[in-house]
Amino acid sequence: MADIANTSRPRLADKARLKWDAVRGKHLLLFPEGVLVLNPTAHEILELCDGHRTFEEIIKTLGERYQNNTIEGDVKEILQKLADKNFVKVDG
Amino acid sequence: MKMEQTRPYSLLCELTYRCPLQCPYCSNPIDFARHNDELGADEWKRVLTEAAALGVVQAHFSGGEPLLRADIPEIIRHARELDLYTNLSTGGTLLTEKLAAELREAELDSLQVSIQDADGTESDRMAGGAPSFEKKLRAARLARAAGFPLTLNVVLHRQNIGRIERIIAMAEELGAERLELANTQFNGWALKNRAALIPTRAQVEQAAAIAHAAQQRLKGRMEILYVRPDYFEQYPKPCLNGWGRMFLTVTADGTALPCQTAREITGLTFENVRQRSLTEIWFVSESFQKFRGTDWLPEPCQSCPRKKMDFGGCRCQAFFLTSDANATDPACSLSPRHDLITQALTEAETGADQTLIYRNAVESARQLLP
Repeated sequence: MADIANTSRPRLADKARLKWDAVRGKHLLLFPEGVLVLNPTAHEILELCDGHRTFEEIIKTLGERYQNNTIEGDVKEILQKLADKNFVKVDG
Repeated sequence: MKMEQTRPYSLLCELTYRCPLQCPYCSNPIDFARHNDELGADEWKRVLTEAAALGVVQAHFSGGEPLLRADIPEIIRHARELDLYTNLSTGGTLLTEKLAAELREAELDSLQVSIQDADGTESDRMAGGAPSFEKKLRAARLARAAGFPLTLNVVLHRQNIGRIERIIAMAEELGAERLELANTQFNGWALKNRAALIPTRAQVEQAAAIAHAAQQRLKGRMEILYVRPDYFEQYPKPCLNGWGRMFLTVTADGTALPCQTAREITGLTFENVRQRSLTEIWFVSESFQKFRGTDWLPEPCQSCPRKKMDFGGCRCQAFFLTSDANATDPACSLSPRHDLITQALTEAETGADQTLIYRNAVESARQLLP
């Protein structure tokens, strides 16, 4: 599978939706017949996957937030895993 | 046993047991025809409100055929107002462009259409009743045109598993985002039809290889779920990830169940949402406590290192095959009654044919005769 390009604009798949679960105090990713309990990092990444921001912009935003410019590899790995499971679209 | 603090994530709403189809592996209870006192829309809304407060984040609407209910958009809209993820599972024959638009308007999240086969004649024969295959294809296209993420559900058995490649191609052609290939689970109706439906080991292995190759090929485009049949496995499946742990079902007549098949287990009393709140039923009712956790497990499960992985397997299967819902699931190779499974597998290899018993009101009544 091709690498995620800097210009790609990741977005949640149509079937997937983020939800704040007030009963459990957790961020969730919901999809048909399944629930993923998100850790704070995964949630922050997914919140930025709005189909408008490019991958490069997402890295920049997170890098500034954490004062860390070595996060690209980790974010790419998380997004690629979510894309392989069809929760996130990264093409184009 | 200490009070379980676990809360359910998912609620299955079986809105009606009525259905224009008659699939011989239907998951509805054998005696479905006598439970015809359906909950009304206001009652369903109350159930959904209680469910959301209890921790449910996902509502799955099925039946029978849920589109037989004219109030379905209203019920779904209420679930969405509660910020539940909503999923509708239909046989497809009643979906129209207008209804698809109404469901979209109600903000339904995801739509699943069941198709019985990639071969139209065979699909119609398995679904029983009036021809349905063309209507199902049309429903899948209407769902895509309305903008829904589409899941195609196909139950696999010895009569269609050989066409798994065509089934995958059909799902691709229809633009499905997910394809659920679930081997028949032999409880209830399916158990009555087991000789006609159980695949051979060679069929299962070949289908698994094709499904896995397609999963790789379609990665990132279409998700394929291939659920291996537990009869062919060494250990039982972790049914619902544990009894009364993550899922609950409310049936057409308001009975609250840990799983949709559980009402077949005699000797357990299941409570009704008309008499008691969902929260009370979940936390304190006898039926939900009965097989929760692992304290109740018999041997060989109790001393088994896998007990927290599979919870002794499927309670309904244990009941159907051994008449004892407390028993180890016979699908487990360590079960003292695993012979019940190996015997069925032997019969599958020799190919015992059987006429299908269709799931309809007449058969439902007939099967209850002594």
